[in-house]
Amino acid sequence: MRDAMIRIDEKSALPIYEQIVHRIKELISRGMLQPEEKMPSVRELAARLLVNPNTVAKAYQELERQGVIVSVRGKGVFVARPASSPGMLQERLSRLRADLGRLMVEAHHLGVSRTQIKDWVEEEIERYWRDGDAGGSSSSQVD
Amino acid sequence: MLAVRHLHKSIERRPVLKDVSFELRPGMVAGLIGRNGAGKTTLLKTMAGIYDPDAGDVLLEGESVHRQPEIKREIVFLPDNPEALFGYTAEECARLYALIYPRFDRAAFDEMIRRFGLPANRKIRQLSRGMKMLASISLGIATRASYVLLDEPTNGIDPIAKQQVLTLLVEAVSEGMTLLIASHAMGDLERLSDMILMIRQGEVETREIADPARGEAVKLQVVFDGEAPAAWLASPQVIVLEHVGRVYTLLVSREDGDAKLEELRRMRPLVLEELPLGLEDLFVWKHGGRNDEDR
Amino acid sequence: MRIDRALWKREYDQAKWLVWITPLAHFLALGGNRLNDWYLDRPENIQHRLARIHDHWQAYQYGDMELMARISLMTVLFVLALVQTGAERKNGGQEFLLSLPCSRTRIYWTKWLFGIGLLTGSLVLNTALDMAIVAGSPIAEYFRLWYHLDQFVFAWLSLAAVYSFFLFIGTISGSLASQAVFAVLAPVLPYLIAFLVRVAIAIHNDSVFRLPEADFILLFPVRYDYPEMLAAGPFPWIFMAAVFAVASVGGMIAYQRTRAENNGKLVVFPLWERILQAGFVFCSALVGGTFVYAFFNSSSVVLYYVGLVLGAAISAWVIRRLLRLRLKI
Repeated sequence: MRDAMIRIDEKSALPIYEQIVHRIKELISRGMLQPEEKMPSVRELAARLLVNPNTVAKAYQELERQGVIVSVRGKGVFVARPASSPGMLQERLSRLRADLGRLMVEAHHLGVSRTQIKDWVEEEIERYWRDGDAGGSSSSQVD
Repeated sequence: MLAVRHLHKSIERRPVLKDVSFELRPGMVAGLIGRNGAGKTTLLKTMAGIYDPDAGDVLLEGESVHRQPEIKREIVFLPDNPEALFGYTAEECARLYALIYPRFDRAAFDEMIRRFGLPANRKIRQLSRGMKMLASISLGIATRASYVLLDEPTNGIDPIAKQQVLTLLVEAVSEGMTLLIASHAMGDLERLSDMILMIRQGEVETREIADPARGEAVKLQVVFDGEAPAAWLASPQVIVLEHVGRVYTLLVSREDGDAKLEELRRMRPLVLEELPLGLEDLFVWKHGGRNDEDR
Repeated sequence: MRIDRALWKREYDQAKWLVWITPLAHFLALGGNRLNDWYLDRPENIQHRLARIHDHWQAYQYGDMELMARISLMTVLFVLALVQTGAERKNGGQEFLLSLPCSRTRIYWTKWLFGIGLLTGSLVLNTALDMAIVAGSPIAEYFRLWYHLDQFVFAWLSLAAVYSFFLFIGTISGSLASQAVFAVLAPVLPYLIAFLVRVAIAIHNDSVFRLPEADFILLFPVRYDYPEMLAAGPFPWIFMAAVFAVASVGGMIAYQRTRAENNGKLVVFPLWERILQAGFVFCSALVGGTFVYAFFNSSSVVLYYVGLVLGAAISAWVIRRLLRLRLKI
């Protein structure tokens, strides 16, 4: 993992450990961190970010709880494989929802009418969601 | 655990520390903030045994630092200007410290010196300010003492040396050392500290870094509809941090309830947004704003 | 204990140059001088000198060289005490020592032993050298072992007492400058006060006053040449031993209780501020009285009192200002 990958924003509303959790999940979802890739240790990351190691440890604990990373005794911390990673799923779903919101804003801005956008969505649903199935490999609620 | 209990200290008949109590748990980082002259250095020096308290105790694992000075093996004080070392070279300092602190790690010290490119055989007095601090902090960390008290470690040093100092400190914490850092560098303290000690008018308040204001105040970005309400802005519970064009950045106290906030909401401002309240904001709030009036 | 080595090392590092100057200055005053007189001078001068010697008093020049040696040692010890206490207050050295994991009394005794050790070493070395020089010189027939030993003991005790006294002043003074001033004034003070008091009495009795004897209180290592020393009896020795004991223990107590936050002030203890204030005003009052009385050609005792009050008032103001100062040196 290269140095510039994680930046802590001091002005952000999020506490530092949450920023770290968020950023790591983002890096994974964008493919900059590969599954089963070795993560820097708590000490290394703390020294790189110049952040209290307890904070980094807290972030790692949260990531592990969400199944995003896995710690192997004596070997270190690794990015979890996608299938066994419900935390990542949540992350990806959140992104999806955000992306959807963005597309809607754009459509509205371009003057696409209410009926038109509903038609388009119906078209896509018809194409991918058959027989009222849940779709894909897992189902979950997005808030 | 390093515990400060009911510490009182007056200098020239002026009380500088009034009934100060707090605890430092192992492996934690505490930031000590306060205005210049508020007593940060006095507190650190009293904890290091340089000053004697008028009343109260500094206890390391239950033993008084002042009555059992031998336990100060576990406490190292790094002043903001390491004058005492000026006549020595880094090499000579290491040899001196090795005699004083039984766990002094010479190899670790040499590695740190090498890493920062500090010349081992030049007198400390001749080094740049940043290098002086790096040498001093490296010595302090190499003692492997459990508690390191730092007085303004990043004050007046160049950005590169500052990064190096912070790296050293983070590594020290990873090694299990407890740090008490007196500093004005709020940003650094926010990243490094677990706990904040704020000293004001001789008294020390403890705050957690995660929620420095403890809900007692809120930081808001506001754009008023029409004219800004001068009377409301001038009230003692409101502090204007910034005023750019029509955008006000405010701190509103909630110590006496939400009345002020309610007043604000009833004004129906165009923009009313809560912002994260950081350490610097806490500092300004506690000192009554930027105009030196004390609350 | 290893920390002792660190403390000794600190003392040595600070006073390195003094460690070398001390025996050298001592030698120049004593053995070197002797050498000069009896070996290095022109033969005719030596013969001349030899001809005038009839007993060992004359051979040893009535202890003149030992007196010079004591003076130079006293000067060196004065500087050493300044380096060990006053200088440390301003260069962060004292605060560094106080932060170390050892008791303050340990720090103090290390300093004290360093000074005493330096003194002892120089005395042993130079006395031995001097004895060798005398034994091999033209006045060898007048060599007396007990003379050298006597001088050794007297020098050791008087200088150890003076050094302890200088160090004690150092533990109480807050800055280099004030320590220097007090260390110079304090030995003179009893003599000065005695003089002023006698003047005051004389003025009231309208009698002629005499300058009091400059007795042993004044700079005792310096005071005596050898015959006087022998004639003075036990009292000076008792006095020196008392000063030695009181000053060294007093210094330990003061160092143990030192107030580092008052470094830079004239004195570091509020109690001593009070004493200094009282003493300064008292002496200035007496000086003022004497001065005014003498200035107006001793016409009336009232003038004395006028001077007294003036002296007291002015000095009270002065000392108040001085006590508030924090010196950088």
